[in-house]
Amino acid sequence: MTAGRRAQRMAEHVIRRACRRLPADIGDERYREWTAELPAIVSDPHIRSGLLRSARALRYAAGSYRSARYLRRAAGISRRDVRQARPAGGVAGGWASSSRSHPPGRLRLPDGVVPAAAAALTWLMLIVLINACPPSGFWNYLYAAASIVPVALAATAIFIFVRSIRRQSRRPRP
Amino acid sequence: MKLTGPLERVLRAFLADLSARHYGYDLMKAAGLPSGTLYPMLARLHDQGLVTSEWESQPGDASGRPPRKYYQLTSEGIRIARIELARLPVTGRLASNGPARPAPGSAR
Repeated sequence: MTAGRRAQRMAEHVIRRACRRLPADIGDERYREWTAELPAIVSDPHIRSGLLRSARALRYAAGSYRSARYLRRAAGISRRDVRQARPAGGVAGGWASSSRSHPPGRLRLPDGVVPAAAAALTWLMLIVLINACPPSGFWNYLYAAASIVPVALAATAIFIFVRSIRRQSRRPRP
Repeated sequence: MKLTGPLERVLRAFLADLSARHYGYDLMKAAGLPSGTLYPMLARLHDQGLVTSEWESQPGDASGRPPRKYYQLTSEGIRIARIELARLPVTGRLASNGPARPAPGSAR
């Protein structure tokens, strides 16, 4: 794969992500329109350097985020509306799998449970280890550093939990 | 219509050759604007009925590239663009004579 082709693929990926922020019909059309320009950019005879052509293609793709934001606002649609309404198809395919939606029929743990359990487990392991090898000399530093891990995990669990509570309170009730 | 600098450059690019249909990259080069500025502007002009767009039925070359979307000023767009540009002070006109190089492959 040539550098130009690689840049084009990357730019297509960026545009696809930008178009996922749009409703399906608008997003699909804009994706076709914007990606159709890429061959002209990566083979622009007025730009001699292939590197510059690739950079321009990526810059062009990055601008699609701004364009998508304008189009979404002009249509009076919020990102949450797009997320809820978008089916897993078209350029949006993979939105559902890459986002927070959950496969049906699979047990879903409450938000923040996994990091909380990991924090508790790490903490227990640390206590067992300290009892087995009492801290002295170099081990003091190691235990101090290791104790940051359960604290960080616990903080993450609290953050995720609070965020999920806030999201639920914002969601309109049926 | 509020005539901003970027809008002025886009209108000039359109008016430079009224018979030509312009695609996005062509306009970007002619007006010297990034895609994030150009496409929202084209969408706004389209909503106002000043610009019309159509998909290329079949690419002109045999490179196998996907069909492009072309933009062209409507008759109302041409009229308003000419009025708005004529209103500009002479200094503004001179200052905004930006690049107007047509991109290769512009449809005529």
